[in-house]
Amino acid sequence: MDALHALLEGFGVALSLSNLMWGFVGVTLGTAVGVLPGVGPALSIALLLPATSKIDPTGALIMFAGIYYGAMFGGSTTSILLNTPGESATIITAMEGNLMAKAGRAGPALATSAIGSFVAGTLATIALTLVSPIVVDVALKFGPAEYFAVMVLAFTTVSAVLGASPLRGVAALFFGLYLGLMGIDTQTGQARFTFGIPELLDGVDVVVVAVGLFAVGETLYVATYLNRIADRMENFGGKVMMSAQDWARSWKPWLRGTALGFPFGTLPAGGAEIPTFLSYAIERKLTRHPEEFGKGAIEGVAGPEAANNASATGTLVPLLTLGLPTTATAAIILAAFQQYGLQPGPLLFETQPELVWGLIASMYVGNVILLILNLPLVGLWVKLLAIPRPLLYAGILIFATLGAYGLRNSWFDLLLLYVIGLAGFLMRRYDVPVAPVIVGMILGPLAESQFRRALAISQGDLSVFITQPIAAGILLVAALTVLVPPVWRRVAARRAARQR
Amino acid sequence: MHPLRLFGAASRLGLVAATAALLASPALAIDNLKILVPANPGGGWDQTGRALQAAMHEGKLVGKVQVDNKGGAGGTIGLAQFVNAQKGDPHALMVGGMVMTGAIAANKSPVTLAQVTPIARLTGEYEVVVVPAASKIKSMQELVAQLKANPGSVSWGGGSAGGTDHILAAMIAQAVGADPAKVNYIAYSGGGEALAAILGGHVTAGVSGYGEFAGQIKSGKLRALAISSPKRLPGIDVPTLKEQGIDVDLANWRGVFAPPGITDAQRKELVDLVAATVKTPAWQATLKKNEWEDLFEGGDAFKTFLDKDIERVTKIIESVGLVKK
Amino acid sequence: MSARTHLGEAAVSLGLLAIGAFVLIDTGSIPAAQTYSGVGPRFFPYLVGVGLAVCGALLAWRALAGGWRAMPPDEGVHDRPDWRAFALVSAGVVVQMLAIGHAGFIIAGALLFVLVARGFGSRRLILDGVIGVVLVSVAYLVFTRLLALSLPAGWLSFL
Repeated sequence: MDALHALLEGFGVALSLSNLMWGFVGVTLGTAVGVLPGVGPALSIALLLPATSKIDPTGALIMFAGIYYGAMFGGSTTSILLNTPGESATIITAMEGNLMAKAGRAGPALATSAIGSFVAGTLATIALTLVSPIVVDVALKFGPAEYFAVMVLAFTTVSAVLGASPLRGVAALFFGLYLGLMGIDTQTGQARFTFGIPELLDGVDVVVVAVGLFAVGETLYVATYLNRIADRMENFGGKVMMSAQDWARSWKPWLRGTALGFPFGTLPAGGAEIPTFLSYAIERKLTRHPEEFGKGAIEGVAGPEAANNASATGTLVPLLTLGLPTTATAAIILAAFQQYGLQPGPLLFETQPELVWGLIASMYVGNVILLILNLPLVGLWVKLLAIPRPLLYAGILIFATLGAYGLRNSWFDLLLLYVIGLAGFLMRRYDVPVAPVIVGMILGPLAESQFRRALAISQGDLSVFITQPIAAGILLVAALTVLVPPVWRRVAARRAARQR
Repeated sequence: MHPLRLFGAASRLGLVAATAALLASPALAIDNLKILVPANPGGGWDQTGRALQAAMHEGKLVGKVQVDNKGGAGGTIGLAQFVNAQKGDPHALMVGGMVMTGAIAANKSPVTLAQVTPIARLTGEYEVVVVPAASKIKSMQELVAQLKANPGSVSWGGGSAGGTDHILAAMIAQAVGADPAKVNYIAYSGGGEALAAILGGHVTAGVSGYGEFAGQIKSGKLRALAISSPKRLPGIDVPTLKEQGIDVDLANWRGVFAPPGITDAQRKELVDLVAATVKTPAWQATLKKNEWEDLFEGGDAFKTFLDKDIERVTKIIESVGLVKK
Repeated sequence: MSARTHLGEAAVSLGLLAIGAFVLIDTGSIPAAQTYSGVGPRFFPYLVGVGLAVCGALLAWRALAGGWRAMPPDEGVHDRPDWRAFALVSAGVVVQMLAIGHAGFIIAGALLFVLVARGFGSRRLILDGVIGVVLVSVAYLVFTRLLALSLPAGWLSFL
């Protein structure tokens, strides 16, 4: 097999001492920037680009891929420990992950996240090696109508995050949809709900909202209501490593998360947020421990973490095969290729096989480095939670605010963070779930722009959503997810009644 | 003065003196220059600002160059800050470009480029019109014919609404006698998403900077119909719009500006500095590496160009209905 | 459940209703551009406005008619709010916001750290300050040295 042979040679490249070192540097650096909200892999790679123009391209690209992975991982560490998601792809992880940490299970949460990332990253890399060309052909078939159908499907699973009261959950969802509307309308360039503030023209960043709701809101709530009552809420006992039961409950979510994340990553408008959210919804539906969701269920960490790592690998598929960047980070990696006079695409596999296969092989290696680097650190990270509460929460706010400020150098972003924090405080006080806000913010703008694009191309003809087979198929699945469970319940109830 | 600040000033003075002595360069007229990039790190303006910084350092033209980012709203947030905070500062530059003129018009920005001092145009990138390889449209003439017959049936995929890609589509429509407001423009966020929509055949045609499509054009997945340069470019086998009878040329240019309220002598100093910077090997290497077109034009020539460009961009943005007149 | 909780619930519901009403009114001021899709920039805002208003109204009605449903058991957690702590944490964020431009990134961050720690009951102001400075300085170095982003150095610019 040609690909296999090429891959073996790729390993020869990736395992050279200098390339191993670049991989190590990248993963470490990525973990560091992933920890800071607002400072993501795209930004770090962009800023490192000029500095790397003198090192050899294979080494630099291996380092950049390492940054990408590392950032995904660093983001989940702060999500779990501090409820402060560093990246948009790790917001969902914060939900169950931080609850696990509060229940004294930070160790297993971090471990399932690290091992899940490793499993997903490795499996996704294997998929990348074997099926890239086919996957890309399918991905290109997705146009606005198909994407809109995917958004509808995602909306139908939203019930998983609505919480105890569907009405409060839906209210939170609409609040998120409203936040998503702020800024310049993509299709017509009109400003919406910006109050004449230029900073709002670019819209509100979902990471700022997540950090505001989760970290700032939580800090205010704990200070106001919990601090005086109980000296310490968190439970620091518990094991650092995963138990046999944790393993048994994690491996399926890892695989399902990978299966969701990889194809989404290859879609030009897929991204990493939607698969993490879908994975969460699916795990919540499939779990044998539904009572643990909302209190820290390991499936709710294992699935989304696998999904975000698999999608990160998935984005490299269109990048390497077509030269098509599908995320900001991929766009910067493309710029890095071009800096060396390389144009990704089908020709790259022929003209630079050493580089491409070296990069792919280095992704296998990078995943191993990530695991080796992070598993021993889990014990250390968990000790972070033993820091006295005043220092811990002060530290959380430092992380939350500095990342938000660093990007634009604007005090307005800090004000925004605080105002959203106040909303988060009220929501926590009155048991309004915050997750639907995030889901609304992520899905709303995508659904709107794809819907309007599809209709603009068809010149207002609504039938595009049912005459295109892929879109129609997805919409059918969405309709079934809404209709089947209630009908099923009714049938089952009737059957049970008859048996009695 | 605060004692700490006094100490700071003293140490900085010492540092500057040391640097100056070390370099012993008589041309070191400006010892401390600030470059404001009105965009977040990573984009084209940021690369321009940082490349200028590197070239000035390498050419030993300025003692110390500091790059600051202030992103948002197509550069208008940075522009407002530059006009207000840097007013009269003879040692400050701001990166800007054609996208900014569009954003100012579309966002009704209270601060405009008329308030800053144009120093030089530096680089530019030409736009290219493409169709997917499988498209039945083989030439610009066929695209124009369809556009004239039924403007709504030609969907144009490109970057943000009111951006360079949208402006070019509207200019083409106007030049061939179609109504620019009737252009069916589909805005995508980011080049990758637009490229995917074009490759997948979801839109009729695509518009973007040549660099963004170059790989796909070379590999035959996209058919280039026209390029927006005034003359054919060496090494790029794509006919211009002009030679196909469409009187449009458009460069997505980038340049630098100085704050308002500086004297003519100070302005000349900055123009000379930038003119010297673009001659450095470091800058020339950057142009080559990024495949930027060298469109250097300093001082008055740039001002004349700028006035004309602002006028036509504002007009075209009004004509597509983005701004209420 | 206490009457105060129900009053708070009603206030939050009315706030939501007010946002919904605002969205509906403000949407009218978005210029409606002509588009081929037939769905302009106002369509989704109207949907969202209606959704917010309906949710707000329903929640308000429930709050007044005996309180929101399916609330978790209170266990007296909300009986004695510590508004001084709330104010100190808020002050931390606000002070940082105001100081960051002049005093600089490190000093503003350290002030935030001290105020939040104080809000949580810490009495070791100096030690907190030292820890804050160290923590923020590390972040500052990552930003400015590693990533070459410039941040306001403020009063510490002599360093």
